[in-house]
Amino acid sequence: MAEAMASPNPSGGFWHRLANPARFQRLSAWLMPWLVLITLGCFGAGLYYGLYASPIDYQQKDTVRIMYVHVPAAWLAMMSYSTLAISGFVALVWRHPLADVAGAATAPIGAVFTFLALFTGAIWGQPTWGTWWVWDARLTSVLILFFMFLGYIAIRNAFDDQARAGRAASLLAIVGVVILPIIKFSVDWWNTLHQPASVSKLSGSSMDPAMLRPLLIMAVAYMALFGVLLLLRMRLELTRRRVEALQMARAGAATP
Amino acid sequence: MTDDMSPLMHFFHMGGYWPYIWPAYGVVAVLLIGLLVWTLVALKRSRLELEALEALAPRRRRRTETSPAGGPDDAQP
Amino acid sequence: MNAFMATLSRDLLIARREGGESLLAVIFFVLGAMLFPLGVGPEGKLLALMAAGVIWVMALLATLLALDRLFQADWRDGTLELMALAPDSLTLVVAAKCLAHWLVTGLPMVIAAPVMALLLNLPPEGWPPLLAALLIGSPALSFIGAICAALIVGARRGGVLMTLLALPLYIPTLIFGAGAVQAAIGGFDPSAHLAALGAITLAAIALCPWAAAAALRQAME
Repeated sequence: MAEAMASPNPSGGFWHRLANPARFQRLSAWLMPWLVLITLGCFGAGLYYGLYASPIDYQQKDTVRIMYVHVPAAWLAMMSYSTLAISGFVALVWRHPLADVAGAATAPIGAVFTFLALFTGAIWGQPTWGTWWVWDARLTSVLILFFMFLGYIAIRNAFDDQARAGRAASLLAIVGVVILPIIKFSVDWWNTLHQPASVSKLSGSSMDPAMLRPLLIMAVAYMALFGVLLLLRMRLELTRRRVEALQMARAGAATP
Repeated sequence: MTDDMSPLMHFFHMGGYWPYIWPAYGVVAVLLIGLLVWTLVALKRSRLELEALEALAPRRRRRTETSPAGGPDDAQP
Repeated sequence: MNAFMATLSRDLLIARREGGESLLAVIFFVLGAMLFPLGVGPEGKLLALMAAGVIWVMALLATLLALDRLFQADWRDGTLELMALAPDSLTLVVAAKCLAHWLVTGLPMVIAAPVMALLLNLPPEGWPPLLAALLIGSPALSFIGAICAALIVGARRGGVLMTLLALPLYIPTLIFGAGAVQAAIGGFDPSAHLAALGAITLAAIALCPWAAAAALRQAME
């Protein structure tokens, strides 16, 4: 992997050239200001519309405003896991060196978004349903997803050999993403079996366009923030790997 | 009671649901900003470490007193 | 096919020689069921409501307990590398090991299930669907768990990590397995649940050995 990164194929495609860490650094440096701009702009607009310039729900009153931080968090949780799975697939099938880095970088971000989805979901549930936790289909699925993120992080840390850790984690992400729809389907079925009467209010069935606007703006804000965090953590991961490689080289050269 | 609140207080009051809305938004802000800050701090620290290691690397032969072993097979990272 | 039968008979022979494994899983299975009345109280109606779920959760945990050993011993003494190098497909070898695991761990649980049902006051309408569901669904547990066992082979603290990885993957099996029993108790037809369970098991038997073999090959690179 070190050799591949040191001398990439200059006539290779975009992704091959991107495997060069210096090129990646340049691309990410170019992207970053735009992402930061979009993040700040969309959070500003989203918070303005979400907290101030949008109507209250007929039944939920102001608590519907929690939806604007909860639903995008759940979307980002799923987007993060998809990123894990795709990077795992690329890492195993094409051995693209950045793919493994992307996976390692995404995992903690995904875990945070998932936790936020759970936390805000619980807070939303209390005034809406009178209880701090409710086993509705979405929250249950997100809770399971949280543990799948923890599993991914755990398996990355379970091996000293980083290459082995990366391969095992990549495979786990792929297996997870295959089984995830089945889990979601079975949880949905389980939910309708046990709570036939309640329609999930958290799904926001008939959405007033005035409510859709802050929701979508916040979603874009979250996505841009995800991009910022991903690039930063990929830089971090690349730097850490170079540090480790240098330390190992020094340790190897220092043996008497 | 809500009628004699200033518009600002009315905003913060959130129809009585302020103990739910503000903690929710607050935790989101704290965790997302916290993740960002943690990443930036770790990145900075890691970069300093990298610079320190690269300065010690044997291939930088500008320094007159190099590391003892001289490292013939300096492994390219 | 040769490798399949050879591995199957070898694993069964080892299990028989080691003796206790099958018994241990069953003891854990029943012991766990015993703890629930001690924890929630012996009230018959409460236990009857919980019985299907408790039995299935204990089945998941008992399977995981025995799954640790699926690849670890062969990994440590190098047999796994030999299997991977052999001309016969590693997938077949893994499938045989999964089958052996189920015969040694899953099948005894099905046999012990009536005892569990008795202890937990499962209503009589629930007994046949419970046995059917366990019979149909427990192979899925062995086969799906094999992927997780293969992923962590050679890792430190692999056993607990494997549990963390496998439990989310077991959830569909749990939902349909316990759901079949609950449906029958409630007077509904459990066949939809059993059919879904069957689909899961068939898919698991078809796909998991391949995925587990891929994980083993990644481990041995």
